[in-house]
Amino acid sequence: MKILITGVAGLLGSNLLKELLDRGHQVIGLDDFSLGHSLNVAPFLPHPYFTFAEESILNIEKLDAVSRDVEVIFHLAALKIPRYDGYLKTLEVNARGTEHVLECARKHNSRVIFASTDEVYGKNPEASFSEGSTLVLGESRVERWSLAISKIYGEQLCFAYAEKYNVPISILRYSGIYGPTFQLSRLSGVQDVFIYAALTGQPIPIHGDGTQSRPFTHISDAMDATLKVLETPYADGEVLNIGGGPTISVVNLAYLIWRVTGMTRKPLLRFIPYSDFSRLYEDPQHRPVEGSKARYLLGHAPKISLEEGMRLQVEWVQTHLGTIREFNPTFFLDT
Amino acid sequence: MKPEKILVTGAAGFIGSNLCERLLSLGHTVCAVDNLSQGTLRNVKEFRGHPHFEFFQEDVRNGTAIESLARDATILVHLAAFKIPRYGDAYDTLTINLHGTESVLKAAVKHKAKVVLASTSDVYGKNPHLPFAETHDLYMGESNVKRWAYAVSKILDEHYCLAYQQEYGIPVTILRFFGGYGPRQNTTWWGGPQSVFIHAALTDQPMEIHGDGLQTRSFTYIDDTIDGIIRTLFAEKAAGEVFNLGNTKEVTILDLARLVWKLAGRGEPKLKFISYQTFGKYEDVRNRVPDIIKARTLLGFEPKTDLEEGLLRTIAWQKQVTGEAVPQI
Repeated sequence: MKILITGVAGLLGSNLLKELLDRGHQVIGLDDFSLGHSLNVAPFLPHPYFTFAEESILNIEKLDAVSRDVEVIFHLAALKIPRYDGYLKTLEVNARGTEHVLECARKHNSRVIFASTDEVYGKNPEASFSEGSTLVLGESRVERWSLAISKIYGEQLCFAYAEKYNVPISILRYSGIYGPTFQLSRLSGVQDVFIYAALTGQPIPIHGDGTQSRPFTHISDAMDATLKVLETPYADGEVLNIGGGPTISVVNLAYLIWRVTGMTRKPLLRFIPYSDFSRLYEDPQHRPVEGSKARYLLGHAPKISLEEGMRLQVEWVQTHLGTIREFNPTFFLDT
Repeated sequence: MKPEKILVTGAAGFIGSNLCERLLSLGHTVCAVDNLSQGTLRNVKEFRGHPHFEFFQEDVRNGTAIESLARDATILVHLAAFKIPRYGDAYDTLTINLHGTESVLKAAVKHKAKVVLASTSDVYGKNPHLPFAETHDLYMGESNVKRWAYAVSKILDEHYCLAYQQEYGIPVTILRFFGGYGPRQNTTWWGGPQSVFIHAALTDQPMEIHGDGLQTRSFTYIDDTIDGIIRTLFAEKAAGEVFNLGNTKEVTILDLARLVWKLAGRGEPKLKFISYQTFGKYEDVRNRVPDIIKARTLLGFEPKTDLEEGLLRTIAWQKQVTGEAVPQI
């Protein structure tokens, strides 16, 4: 198949690229490197079935040109943290960008597989989040919620295009995906900041008191589910949690990572109060995402335990530390 | 208060036309924009000829047009929107509300104007904690239920406004309206349940009640809504703020229907209950009441017209415009 990946230079995008090329698909990848990293796609550039375009999804003409004849669009391009990426930019890329992708899919009869996030469940107080759970946002003056609302808008727009124009859509709400990527920072996940801190013998920076808990999903499990979505008709018109399962508190994650890195001394932790970020900062305490729909509908079974996954991640960061520092020396300065 | 040039989008709608009229009476110059998709020229005919009033039939999504119309305007009041897609497409609601708001914000940046965005009580969605204060959480239902498209698009609009304020320094104020009614309201479902009930009462047809009718709403008479808007337009401290504007009295839909019937001078009300299942995948909000302490404290806002008085005026108006006879008692 001919497949377009937006955000191909990100964690999900570059790993998906590899899987699709391995399966013999022809892939067009789009990224403007605002968040993704060129090193993530560099190894694939010579591949005969891969075409790369350095461009933003906000450029609809270019997007339209590269999406011609494409059967499936994996729409992964997004901005995540308004504090780093810019408040307005986050809204524009996620809302307008998704509209552009859907518009191109409508014109060229493509299927859209849209990457959403478990952030859409927001402050939902329920004990577990299934795909039908209520999406609870904090007040609009808190910037953080721009990610959730722009993604919910994207989801609504997917269903609107399906309703009005019969564009086939699937919505994947990814939960705490981690894995090899050269874009290592808070933007690739809290685990990477912790690993870097531990490996360099610095105190692990923890937001709040660290009792907030989160799910973590290894990229290989996320890929298994994502490819199953591509390969079965079952996911058409569906919302699916990808990942989830047992959550871990942020402070326990710090302990786990410290131990896995083989540090000889007692863990060093540094607690940063939320009030340091903004008067209005909000961080949901729990994120109990339930992944059973993907399990039963797709036959997807996660294989990598958190301990094993973090071991793999620590090894990867350790091996690539030199390259990461060389290409992005300021990555970890901001915690 | 010195006279300003104020651009109003959705000016031929219910709130828009009433706002234009009030602004003119206060001595301001009004640049009125409406594409007449929902609004009607009948709403502005009483002041169409006012020397300080100009009407432009234009779509708010036309950024170039909005930018040129907003020249010299100091305040842009953005009321144009597409509401809950009960019968139509979620697509229209989602795209019109985003593109329109973007046009207005870009024009405001260009002309260094203030923006007042009309949002809605619907953003509180399924939040079970009443009454709703501006700091409360916003509970959205599933993304494949298109009823939420309106609230989702409005929350996104709110963030766009706040992000523009942060990025470009233009002052923005967000107003969440609760159930407005009164003269010039849309006389179909778009105008709210009271519109339909009044029509039914005037034509002696059964009033359609969705669900069991025990869901509650608050209804705000248009003069009070307009008073609230006017207060935010000129309040320095309204910049970057979100305000609920509404009447705090909670009424069940069933009681509203009965009251309308009584005020229209009819006997025993005719009711027809309609199950939500007929709407497809639909979710209604059970209770909805504003907490208006913030608007009261910062703006001195206080709703003055009670439901009975407001409905009497509204019935009289609707009777007049639709030519429907009210039976003599």
